[in-house]
Amino acid sequence: MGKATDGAKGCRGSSVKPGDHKRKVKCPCNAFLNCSSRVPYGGSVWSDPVKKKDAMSIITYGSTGAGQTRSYEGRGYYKKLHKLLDNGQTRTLILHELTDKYVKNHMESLVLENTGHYTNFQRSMILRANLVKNGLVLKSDGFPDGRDDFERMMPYSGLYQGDEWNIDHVKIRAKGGCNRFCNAQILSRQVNMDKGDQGQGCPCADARKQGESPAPGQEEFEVGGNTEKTRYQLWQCTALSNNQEKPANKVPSYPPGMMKRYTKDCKICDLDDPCNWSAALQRNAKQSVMQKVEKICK
Amino acid sequence: MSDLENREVSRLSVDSRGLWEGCILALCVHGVMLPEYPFTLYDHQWSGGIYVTEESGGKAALVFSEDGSLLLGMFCDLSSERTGLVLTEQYARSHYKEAPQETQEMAQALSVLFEQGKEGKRLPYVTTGLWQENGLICSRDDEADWYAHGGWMLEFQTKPFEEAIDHYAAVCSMDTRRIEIAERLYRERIKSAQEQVILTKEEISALRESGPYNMGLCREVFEQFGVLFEKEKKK
Repeated sequence: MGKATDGAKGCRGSSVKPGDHKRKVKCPCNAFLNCSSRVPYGGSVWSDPVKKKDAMSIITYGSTGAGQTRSYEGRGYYKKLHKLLDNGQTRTLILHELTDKYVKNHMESLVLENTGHYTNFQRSMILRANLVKNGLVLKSDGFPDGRDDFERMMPYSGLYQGDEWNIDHVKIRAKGGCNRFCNAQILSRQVNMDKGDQGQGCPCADARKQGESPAPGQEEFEVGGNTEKTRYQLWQCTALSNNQEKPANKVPSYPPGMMKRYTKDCKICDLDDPCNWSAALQRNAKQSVMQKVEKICK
Repeated sequence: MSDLENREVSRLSVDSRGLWEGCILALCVHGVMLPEYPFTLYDHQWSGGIYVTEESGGKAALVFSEDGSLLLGMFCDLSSERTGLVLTEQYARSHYKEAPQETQEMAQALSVLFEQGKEGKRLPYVTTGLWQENGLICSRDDEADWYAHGGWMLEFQTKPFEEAIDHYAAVCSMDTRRIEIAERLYRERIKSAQEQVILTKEEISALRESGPYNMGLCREVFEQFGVLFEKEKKK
């Protein structure tokens, strides 16, 4: 059989599928290559045996609500709101002990999608990694232009304040950003608010405002979630959609970042598992060296 | 001042009862997952008919009457293009400009949940709103704008049970047992707005296995919307 290319048929009419944990398609796009080689959130913690042990242990973290200094009228609707305001209550956050089996099972059942939310399990992994990395003080991962002043944050405060933490999609979710670990960061609400939906989404998607016409030849970028009513409509990237003249073995038939096109058990990037990131990186580097050696030998 | 000033009041196709049921389902799921994931404490809250949901993209609050009818909704979408306009009291009020006086007062009270600090001041950060008037759900935004500027946060509270539970199972990392418990509580709880439901000892035990240290928090959250632990049945 000749060299398999994406979309090509095998010698007996069946599709040729590369093995799991390998990208099925090659994309000449630098933005995608940068995206697919990013470090998963918490990789340095979950791939280090000592830090991993800390992250999997019981973590108790005290949080003091920031407190509502204003006093509200104690009647009518204000009275009902009192409980929701959680006036400066100190709470203790207790994360239970994890086992390798627990982590493995959850990792295997993760559904990764463009525009996907981070699951509770993912949030737990991200939170634990952040706490262990920062000596059990939850800290913001900042924002590229350094606007984040909120170094110390609370796991939860119950108040809608700027220093509450939340997990942000680095590549904007509404613009196709996915829920892989490599697309996560912890930001304060204030910084997240400042960020808004400015910035890039999935590098394989062209996000256009609803009602805007796509470029000639552009096909829809299918996502797992429902986006029909959101602010953006996603189209396949312009380069792929319009690049009909490039040789077929260089241009994939669909954008590699379009996760809906992959089978459920296929991970498009084996580097995205924070627990096995280090090993995967070494394996990939070894394979790359071996390929180069083979090429030279030939 | 705002793009809302000259807008007509629109009628939204929000099913009031369906939304209340959707909120109860979200709360049931939240309650059963809380022992394992205590950091989700403020993802969903309920207090005296007020439902509040928070996620990384923003916050929504709904006020229901004693019989479970929707009275008012307030939304803060962090990625809304209205970001530059929202931090003024005048703007926050403008979402309810044509609403009855009582609704406006309710909105003013609710806006304390949406306050953000800016230049030493704390002001409500509200990007869209809705209210009920004569049985109709109204807004200063049309359906598309309401959804785009915050309504999307209720996407799964407005879905049918089967669709919503599939979403929660994936996003909340639920196992089969906890899906069953959440469904049982939900089916019982929606029989009437004032219904009290008992979480059985066996169910409590199943939840304790998933997170033994946060059962106090779990009980507190369940009690907020009428789900009591078996030993503490009120007569």
